[in-house]
Amino acid sequence: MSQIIVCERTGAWAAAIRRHLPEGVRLRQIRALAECAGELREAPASLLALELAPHNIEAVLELAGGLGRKFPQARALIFADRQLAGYQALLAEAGAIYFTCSPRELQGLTAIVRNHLSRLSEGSTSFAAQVWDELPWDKNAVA
Amino acid sequence: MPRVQITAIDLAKLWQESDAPIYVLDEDRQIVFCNTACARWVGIRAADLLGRQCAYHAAGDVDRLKSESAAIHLCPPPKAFSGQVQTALVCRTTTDGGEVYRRGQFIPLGDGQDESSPVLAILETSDCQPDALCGPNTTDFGLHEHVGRFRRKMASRFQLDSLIGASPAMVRARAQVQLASQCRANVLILGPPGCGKDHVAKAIHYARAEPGTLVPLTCAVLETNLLRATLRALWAKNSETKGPAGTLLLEDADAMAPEVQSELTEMLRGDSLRMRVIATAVRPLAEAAAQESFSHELACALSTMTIELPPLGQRLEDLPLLAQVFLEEQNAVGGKQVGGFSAAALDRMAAYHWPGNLDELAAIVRQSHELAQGGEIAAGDLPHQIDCAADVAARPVRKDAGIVLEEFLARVERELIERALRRSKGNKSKAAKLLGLTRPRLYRRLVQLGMEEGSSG
Repeated sequence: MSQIIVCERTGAWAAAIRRHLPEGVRLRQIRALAECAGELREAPASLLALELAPHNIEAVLELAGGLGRKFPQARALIFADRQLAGYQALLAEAGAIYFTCSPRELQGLTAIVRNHLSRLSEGSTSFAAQVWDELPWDKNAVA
Repeated sequence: MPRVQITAIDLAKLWQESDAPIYVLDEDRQIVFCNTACARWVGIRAADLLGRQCAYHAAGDVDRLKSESAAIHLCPPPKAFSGQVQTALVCRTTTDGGEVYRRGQFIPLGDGQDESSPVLAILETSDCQPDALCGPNTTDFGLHEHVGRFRRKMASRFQLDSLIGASPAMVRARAQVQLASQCRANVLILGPPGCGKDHVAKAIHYARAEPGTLVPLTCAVLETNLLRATLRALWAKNSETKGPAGTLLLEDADAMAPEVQSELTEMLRGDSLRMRVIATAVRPLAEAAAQESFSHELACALSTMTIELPPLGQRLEDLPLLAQVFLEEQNAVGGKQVGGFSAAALDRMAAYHWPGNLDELAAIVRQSHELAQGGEIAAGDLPHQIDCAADVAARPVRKDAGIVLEEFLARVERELIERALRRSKGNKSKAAKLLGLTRPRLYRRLVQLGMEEGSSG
């Protein structure tokens, strides 16, 4: 399912993100980083929007750094407190594909979400296609 | 009483005898002074530390000298070299691989006009917790500590040893990775999706003695303007700073927009971009260039060294070891401990074609680990698609062989019900709602499909 999981305390980022989402993309809000793994198990190709605050730097780094291994189709986006702007390079090194400190600077987000989704639709196999693949029929023989 | 200024020798003696570890770095970040307390704390002779460079990165190479590694851990925050007094943590590695932290004051000895000035470091006399500096009133919220800690973790996670496999293709790839980590040539890593290209790229980067910063750019996802702006910013930053230039990692380079290709080609021409470039792609860039979807010049510049990673389906001899590694990762999370795989489970896995490669294997192992009831993963614990593959392998496909529609649909229905139950975390009422059924009807189907035992009477 196409979705973006927003993990933050207040809901302020989610409100801003929602305005920049392409149509049909679901936004799911959670409050704790500990919930991210469960959400990603349900929808492993999600975009994971993480709020970066002074109290959770280590945990966000760990999550973003391990995302590629545990959920290779997921991508991390970072929404940071303004005072943590210096962490941009480090979070990028950890694998985050987007970093912003201001809800007014989300212009690039729409394109990223769209590209991520179109990439998934190229590579993914729909359930119907999986069912078709299981048929013991010669696929090449079908016109 | 006349005031007497002590001589430099006396000052050095004073520092030498101090209980607090003290060291001095010159403008090239080399240790030029280290007192006895510092050598004692680090556990290395002062003479061995002198001349070592405190570069701002992690130690990835297991063969690195202990003194080199120790010097890396003593690196002050970058701002100290540009004239600002800083408080930060440094660490040393214990014999069992753990880390011990100590808070220190880093005092620049230059006027701050130069890009890099010598720094005097004075550490406290007792150790502290690694999070001792995390808080709103400390320098950059401990950015320095986070960078150091993160890179040490990455260097250990992406060691060359982590590229597992004894198949000839993997042995060859590993040798190439080793070679790539010893030079700064651009590298192109080829392989199908999910085969670990990103892991290999990071292994090459973090294995270097002075890796510098890693800048990954996902060409397939990032917008053209954003990619171009990032490249320009990197180029500008690179031309004005000294130190290790780092690595630009272009993920899915074959998906790069033509505008970005021309920009990058320009930068790589004449070495104006000092960074090493590692690119990953599904197909050779030269092939893409031949089809005119990629720049010839850029394809040549990025393909100085090409490492081809085999798909998992072509190295099934590595499957048991790889599966065990992924299983150990699950065990390491804590909670359920599963010892290994039954022979039948491994046979079933070997019959599967693994279109998603290592990523898919990791996901399958994770799912099976959750489902496993006993001490090992049995064939029945494997997800549905693995079972089907084994069945198909056992019964060679005959052209347009018939199916039993009832059985086939039952299998599809079973899969849908399993998905709904997983989504509703086992809650049957919620699962029934997701499937558009009443709860009693779902229950009947569960019994009919053999997914639940019916209540007797």
